[in-house]
Amino acid sequence: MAEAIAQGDWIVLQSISASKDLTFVRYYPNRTVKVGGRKFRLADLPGPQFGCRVDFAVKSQESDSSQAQQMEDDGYGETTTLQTSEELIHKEGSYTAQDIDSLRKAGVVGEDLVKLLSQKNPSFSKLSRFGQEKYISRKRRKHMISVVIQKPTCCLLCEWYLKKNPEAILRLSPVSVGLLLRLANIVADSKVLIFEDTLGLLCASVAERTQRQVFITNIFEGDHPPGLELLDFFPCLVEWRRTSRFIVCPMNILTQLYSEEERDGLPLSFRKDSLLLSQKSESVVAADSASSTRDSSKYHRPIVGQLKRTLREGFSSLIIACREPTWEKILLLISRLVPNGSFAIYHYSLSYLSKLHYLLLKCPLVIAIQLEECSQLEHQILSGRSHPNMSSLPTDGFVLSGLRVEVDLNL
Amino acid sequence: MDEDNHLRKPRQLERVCSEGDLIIVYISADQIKSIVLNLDTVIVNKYGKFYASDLIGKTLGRKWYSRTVDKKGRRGYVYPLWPTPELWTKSIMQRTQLVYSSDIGLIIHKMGLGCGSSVIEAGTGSGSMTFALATTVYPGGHVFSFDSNEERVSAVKSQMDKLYFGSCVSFDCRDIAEKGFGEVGPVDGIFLDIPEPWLVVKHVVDLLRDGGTVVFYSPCMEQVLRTIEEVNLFHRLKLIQILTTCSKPYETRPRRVFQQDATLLNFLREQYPQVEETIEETKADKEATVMTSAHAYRYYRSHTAYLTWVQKLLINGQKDS
Repeated sequence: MAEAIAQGDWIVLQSISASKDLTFVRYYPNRTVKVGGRKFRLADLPGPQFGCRVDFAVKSQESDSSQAQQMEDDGYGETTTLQTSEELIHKEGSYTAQDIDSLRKAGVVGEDLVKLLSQKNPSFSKLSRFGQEKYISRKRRKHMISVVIQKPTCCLLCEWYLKKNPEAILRLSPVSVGLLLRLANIVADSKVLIFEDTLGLLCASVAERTQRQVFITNIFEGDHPPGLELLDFFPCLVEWRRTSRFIVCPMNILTQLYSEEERDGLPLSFRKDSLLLSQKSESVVAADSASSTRDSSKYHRPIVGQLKRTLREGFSSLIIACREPTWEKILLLISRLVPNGSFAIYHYSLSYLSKLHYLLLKCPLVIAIQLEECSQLEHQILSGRSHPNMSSLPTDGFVLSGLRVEVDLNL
Repeated sequence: MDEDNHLRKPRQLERVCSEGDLIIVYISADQIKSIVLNLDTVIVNKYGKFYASDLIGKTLGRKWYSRTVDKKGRRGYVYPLWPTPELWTKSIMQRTQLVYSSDIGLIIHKMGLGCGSSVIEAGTGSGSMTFALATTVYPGGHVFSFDSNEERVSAVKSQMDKLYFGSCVSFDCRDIAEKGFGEVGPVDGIFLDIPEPWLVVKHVVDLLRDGGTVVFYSPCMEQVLRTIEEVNLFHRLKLIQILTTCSKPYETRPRRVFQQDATLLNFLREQYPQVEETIEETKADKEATVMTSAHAYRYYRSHTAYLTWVQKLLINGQKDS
């Protein structure tokens, strides 16, 4: 799993502290990044590899300039600094903020400084083991930056978005994505139909799970294919989505599977409707068609007839995570599943899914319908003590799942 | 790898039953069973008598009618289904504590497992996790499953063979706390569902690939605390997170909404004219006389286990530090 990192690769810097801050960044050695409120240069990562832990000592802001100045100074100046730091190290009683700054300037940083601070704190020995660990971890947070260099995964991406911009991924969390993949029965060589409004998180998760040994059809509404920006975090998926294993398909084709055969020989077009375009000003049209062409070049464009055949054959799995899809659209998508196909529908609102649950319970196309709420709770652990986190997400969303069966017309 | 078994795995979209297949029979929401299709297999339930010979050669996911009729002359039916990991978990006979859907989903997703991954599972148990892992890593990957109970191992092994995943799962009956994991190479992930996980931490360090994750599945906090003490002894193992997941099932019922009380509305309008708008809005809502309401089940599985995530790290790029 440990791989060397090349320039331009996406890396994730995961802070080792209670906050577990995540920073997604492209690796360029001269770039400066901020983790846990502190900046450092990526060039300082020693021979970076995924899965590598790196500890940085927080230096005094003036230390760099003062050290440079000391290099130019004569021997007398150096001796003075050393004596000062020696004196400070052997000083009786606790340190003041000024002392700590002097120690940092003298090069006592990171783990050494944390050890020294705990030794010199008169009340440290009176603390319980739990208290001592808490004190040390607090000091480490202040005087050190510890990060793990992680390879971008859909799970980390989901955690990152959940903190930064949860609405963009409809508040999907790792536990709800994991449950969706399980309930939709995502396995190698599946034919998966995805209708999502989550920037491509679910497409990326399915591709990651199957290592791209899957056929994904991403259904979208309107004329313009979705951006699916999150696929860009995975270099292997950027090329993969131009293959026939990944198709973006407008929803309206599902209603034309047995009609409009005159277009069957043409490649799928993402151009905007001419009527719609004529209502706009020329500059807007030019901008739109430029972005349309740019986006459509991201995807494989199958021949319409082939696409219809694929859609008619059916799918083994269906995942839906959209803002407010209508019941008709959901039933249309479920009807595209083969008998024994699995579906999983995510929504962050219970009222929306409860209505759908009630409708599907009466629908002869589906069985084994279940509606469940998923949630997770993180626990803090220190030696001998533990408790759940004081605050957490109220819910990780709701998932409605079931299986498609064949309707028996004889009964 | 058993090539014959590998080739036998059905790949077509619509599954056709053949003799010797292990399938799921969906009788009702709370009655999901697994059976092996032999020519002489007959299952009997309240919907009638079902003969496996009627099903062989037919597509799954369609109604399977009984040969018997009820008092009104109707034939009962059940649904024969291809086993998915979710259906399998619901159908298996509970020999030990099961690992349930929300835990399995999160474990596999967070560990980053996929086709081609290699993973160790300690505590085969009922095989719920084994099947989920096997379907995830297939093809190209491998699951190494360990349990100390020979009976459990042979039962799950036979089921995996019938499910066509026998080729990507190896079973070993041994006491891993004492003997370790044997001749298993470095793996991408380790899942430990054993009573004393702290005893195997030393073996985990050797087996896990750099950057790989181990998940300790422990129902009790005492197990977690003891495991973490042991993990902290190893510089290269880093505790990432401790989580519990919960999956709360809901049922929906129709709810009749009563007509608005005109007298009360007039009184409210007179007394509080500022609520006029609210009254108008509720009036619009009340046009639908039936609404649905979702209730959580009265009892549900509120605690399964603590999931302790530990990652093996490279320290400052130095493998041996």
